[in-house]
Amino acid sequence: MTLELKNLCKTYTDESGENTVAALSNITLTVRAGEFLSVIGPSGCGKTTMLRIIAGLEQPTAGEVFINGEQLAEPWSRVGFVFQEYALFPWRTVSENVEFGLELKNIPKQERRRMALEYINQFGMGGFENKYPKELSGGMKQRVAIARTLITNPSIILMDEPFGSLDSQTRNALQEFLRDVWQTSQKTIIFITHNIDEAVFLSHRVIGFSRRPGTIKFSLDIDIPAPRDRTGSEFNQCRKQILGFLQQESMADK
Amino acid sequence: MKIRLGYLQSDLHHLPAFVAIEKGYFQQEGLAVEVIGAFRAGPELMSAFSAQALDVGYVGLAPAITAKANSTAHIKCIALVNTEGSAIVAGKESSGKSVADLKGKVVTIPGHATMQDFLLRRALKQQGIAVNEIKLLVLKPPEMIPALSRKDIDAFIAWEPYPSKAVTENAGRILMTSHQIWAQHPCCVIVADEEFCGKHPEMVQKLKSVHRRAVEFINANRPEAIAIGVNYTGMDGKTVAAALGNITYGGVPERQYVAEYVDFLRELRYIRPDIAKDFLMSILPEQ
Amino acid sequence: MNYLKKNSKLLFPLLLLVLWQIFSSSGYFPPQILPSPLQIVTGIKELLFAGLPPGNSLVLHCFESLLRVSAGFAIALIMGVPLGIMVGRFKLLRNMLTPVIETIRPIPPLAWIPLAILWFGIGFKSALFIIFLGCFFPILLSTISGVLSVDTILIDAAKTLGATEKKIFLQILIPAATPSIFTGIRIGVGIGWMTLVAAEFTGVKSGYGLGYMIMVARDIQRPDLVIGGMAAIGLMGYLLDAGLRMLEARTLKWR
Repeated sequence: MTLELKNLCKTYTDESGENTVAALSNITLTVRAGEFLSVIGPSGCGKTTMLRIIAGLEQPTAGEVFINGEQLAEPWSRVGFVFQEYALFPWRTVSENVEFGLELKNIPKQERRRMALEYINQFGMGGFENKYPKELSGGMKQRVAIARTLITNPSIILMDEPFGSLDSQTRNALQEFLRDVWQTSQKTIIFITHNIDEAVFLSHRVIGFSRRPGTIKFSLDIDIPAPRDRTGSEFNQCRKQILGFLQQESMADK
Repeated sequence: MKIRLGYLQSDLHHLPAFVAIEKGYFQQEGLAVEVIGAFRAGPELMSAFSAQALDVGYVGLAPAITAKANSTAHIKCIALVNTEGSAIVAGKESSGKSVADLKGKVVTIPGHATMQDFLLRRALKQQGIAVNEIKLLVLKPPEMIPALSRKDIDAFIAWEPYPSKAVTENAGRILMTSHQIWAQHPCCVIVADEEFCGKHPEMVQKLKSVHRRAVEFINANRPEAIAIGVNYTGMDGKTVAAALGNITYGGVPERQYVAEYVDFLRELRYIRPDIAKDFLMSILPEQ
Repeated sequence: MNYLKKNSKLLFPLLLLVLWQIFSSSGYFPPQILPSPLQIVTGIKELLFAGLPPGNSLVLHCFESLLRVSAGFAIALIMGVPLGIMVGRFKLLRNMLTPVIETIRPIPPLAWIPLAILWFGIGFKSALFIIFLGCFFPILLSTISGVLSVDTILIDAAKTLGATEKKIFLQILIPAATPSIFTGIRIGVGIGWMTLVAAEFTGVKSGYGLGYMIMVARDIQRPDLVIGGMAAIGLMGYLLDAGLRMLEARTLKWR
């Protein structure tokens, strides 16, 4: 399932029609099937906007999105989305949250429940299926959110700083969790983060956005074989390069 | 001192009060009178007595007796304002010829324990009909006429000018007047606070004088009386003229009538059955 | 001290009643202006066993009033929640309807009585209308506010999982707005219950109803029974709200 973005532009106009903000400028990008792509860049440079356009939650002002060569109209089920704030439905139990996408596909109750339990157990949440989100820690919530997305089997998964609200220990644990999940499922993942270590640890490729209006100004292929050693020299090399780009970007408007 | 006076809104029975005010009879007798209010209903006027906000009131005998018997107001009657002046009105298209035809029908009264409540029950009893053989409903008189037109109810009983209005508006016809139900029954009275009576007996006498003059005026000057009635009730001349034909003003409250009414209240447990023996004496004016 | 804190719910009203009884017994409040608590309790006994009008027990009056309020409330709920959700969801609708809603809302239900009688005649339907008006606006407004405050991220998540507009309506907006709707329900029932007396002014055909009972008590000049009736209304209102709060806690256990 390849993803192609061609000359994507997005400009926001406020209600009075007078003030415009250019968020994205000429984004052209190809993502291969099964690729883990990280997106970094200064805050407010349009990374989230790009993700939302791919998901169909917003429409571009110009440009096209092709999934496997096709332009799809509806947003649903072509991509999965994992949010920084988890976006779990608070009135549904863990199991009911995970089952949500299956419910929408009219999968019968017994089957849904069985499939949800599989994921819940696999993700180390066994015993929590009847708990409500308010009873879960941040790390657990995000695992539920990822399960909820995976269970509907999208080929592309978009993640907007999914581990941003977690403490560093939980964060590391979830990074490893995500890496394992990705290795098993072979999904295409586009992953926004501010954490350089995280990007290097997880991705095939890291792209960098400029300041607003965002364009892609940097690209780095990460060829380190798994398992990646966070203290290794190759790891450090990549980290340096990415840091260099970010520092350049932030100096550019001083 | 100013005498605080009250009467009932749009109640043609209280024409002597309106006349006395218009013609300045109070001032002519040397009385300074302040009209505290035109009350919507008897019980509200009696509440003003409870709150000691009123010295003299024109009000139905019914609420006056109930208030006194339930010890919520300490008043006595000083004069009779009118006798009769109510009627049972049936729908214009109804076929009933008498009260007997009200069996199984919806009939409204202006309130429980009112004189009209009693009159209706008396009329039914005369025809051998039990009260639970009709559907009794409480409505405020202004709402009775539209309800009758809409056929939401089959008949109502109310004080003038509402029966006459129903006739002039072509909404209903009079089935039975209160004269036919209970000839010469007392209806409205002038009551005064007991303390006021004790302190100012001479003012009480003057109030009685004013009332007598007003009644004489109404009997001798029909057209002008009608005009004043129109002014104070907001009804048209034709209605007021017809209504006046049904009301007799003045007189003295006869003990036996009042006794019968008190028994009615006691029987229906609207007042405590154990009221004082001298109750009647305490409420009626000295002869 | 702890005993006081724990039982403050009961102790304070009890204290008020005792003070009131003392004032009444001393003659400071004459009985025709304010009957004493003991007189009112006697009055309530009379309302229960002898009934007012005699023969119509307090229990039946309560029951009939409950029936009326339940019916008015049910209609308000069925109309208010869906309309509220749509107004919350669609800005155009919101812009169109807000001026109308905000103009009608401040009119007290009592003022609608003459119109209610004109439109629905006397009896059950016009009483229902008055009660409906009392319940409707709190439910409508809380539903709108509930929908407006739904985190858009939840709607986004639902969309990416494949939800259509209809599914979003049923599976996201309604559950997310439910806490707010419950608040509206409690307020609506409270106000609806308060409009009882006004509603029953429109003519009670069955001869039963707490508002009707109070009217009769007023007609026969029994302030102790009027207050007894008011106490019954107050107590029932309290119980209704307590019941709703229990239901709310049960339904919203995810909060």
